[in-house]
Amino acid sequence: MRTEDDLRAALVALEREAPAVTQVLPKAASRRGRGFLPRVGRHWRAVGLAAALGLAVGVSVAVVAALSPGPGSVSHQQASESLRTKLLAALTASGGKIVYERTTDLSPGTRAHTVMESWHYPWLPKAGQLERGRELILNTDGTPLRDSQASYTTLAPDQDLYSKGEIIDVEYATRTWSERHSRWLFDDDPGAPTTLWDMIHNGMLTVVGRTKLDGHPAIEVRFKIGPSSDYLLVDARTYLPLRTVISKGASVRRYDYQYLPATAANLAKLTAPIPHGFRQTAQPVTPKNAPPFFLQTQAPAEPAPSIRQTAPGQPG
Amino acid sequence: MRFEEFAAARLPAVLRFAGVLTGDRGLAEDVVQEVLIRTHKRWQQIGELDRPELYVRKMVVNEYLSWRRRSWRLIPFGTAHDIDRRLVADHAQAHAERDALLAELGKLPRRQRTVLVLRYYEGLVDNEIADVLGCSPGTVRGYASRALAALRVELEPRALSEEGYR
Repeated sequence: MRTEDDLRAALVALEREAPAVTQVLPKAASRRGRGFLPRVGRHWRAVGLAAALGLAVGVSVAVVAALSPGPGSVSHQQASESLRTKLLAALTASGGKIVYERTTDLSPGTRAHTVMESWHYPWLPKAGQLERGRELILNTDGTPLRDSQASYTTLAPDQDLYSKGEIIDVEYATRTWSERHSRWLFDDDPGAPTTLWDMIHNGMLTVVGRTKLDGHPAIEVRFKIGPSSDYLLVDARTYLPLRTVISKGASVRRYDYQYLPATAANLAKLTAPIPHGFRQTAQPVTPKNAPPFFLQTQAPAEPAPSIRQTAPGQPG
Repeated sequence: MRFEEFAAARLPAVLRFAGVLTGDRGLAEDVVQEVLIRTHKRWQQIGELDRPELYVRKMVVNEYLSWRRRSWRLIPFGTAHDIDRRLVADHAQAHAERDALLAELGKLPRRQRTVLVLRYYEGLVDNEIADVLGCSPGTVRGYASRALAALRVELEPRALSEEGYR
């Protein structure tokens, strides 16, 4: 049996999961107002510089400045509001379709290449609904590295992180496949359709103007999820998202979307084929040099004060 | 207290709390971001409190309990190894038992986990935890009991005879 002191010590050890002030404040600043306020790049640069220098108080002041209402074009905001309404309506109308997503790595210093293709159905599921998804991860030469299909129950917003379901992994490097029935932990993916929905719903966008994508009329929208300026291209006729480009650290990824009707042929794309001759294993057998799912860094540990005083009212 | 003073002086402790509560730096970051945005909007009222950080921590708890994950991508959850890799940055320095405990802690339902964090990390008694969660002290004890049983943590005898946890 473990003791309560073991539990206390383990919880204190989790302080390493504390984000840095310099990570959180700038991102909060970028989302001030949650509604169509024009982005002010200079604030971002100032915040980023201060963060790099480790000037905690300076960061706070800079961020507060960024959080304060700034000058903005009313018509610009109205255009964003109008587009947001149309986007949400279009997404809702196509929520029962299959969304096909192609992810391309555009990171500086690397040759642009497709890193993943995925299919998801339905792309806007309701709580309790069965979802199906498939991810085909590719090597840099375009050959398959891993093909996974999953089915699981959509969680309600106030439910826990875990969902029951099954997943089949086909590992091309080791010529194996596995089928597992378990609980699953959701991961974050900045380009995932549901993430896109939330960002649009939360009003994290401003209209830049009209453009073309492969000759197709599109509307360019900027949105902020971090210190970089990322963008979204929306079909000017259907108002469905066509492409997003998202930067995260040194990584730049492009996500292209297609919306497919739920025909038998398209639903078949949700199944990961198992090539002849592949051996079944209990767990996925990945190559030894496969990168880990998660890369974490240590956060500085500081003593944590207790909160014994209660505050009035119910926050939230 | 002005918002920038609060951010400079109190935010690190709030972030530590969020890190322990969620056990996930990315999620902690997202939760605190949401809370900061709302805090800033309501700072005129929150800043008037004697200890605004307490109110902000309540907001962190509420946000964590209502957080909706925003992605459909799945990561297998079935083995402790997966969770260990997520929670433990340096395997060489980590103690195996603590890792196992953290892995099991990561599997608890959110409310159970929150009760443990408030009780054993923040040092709150059950009445205070009930106030934070908006439930009865009996419900808090129920959550704690189930969580401790799941983690196979034995209550110390003194805990049963003292005011703590009551």
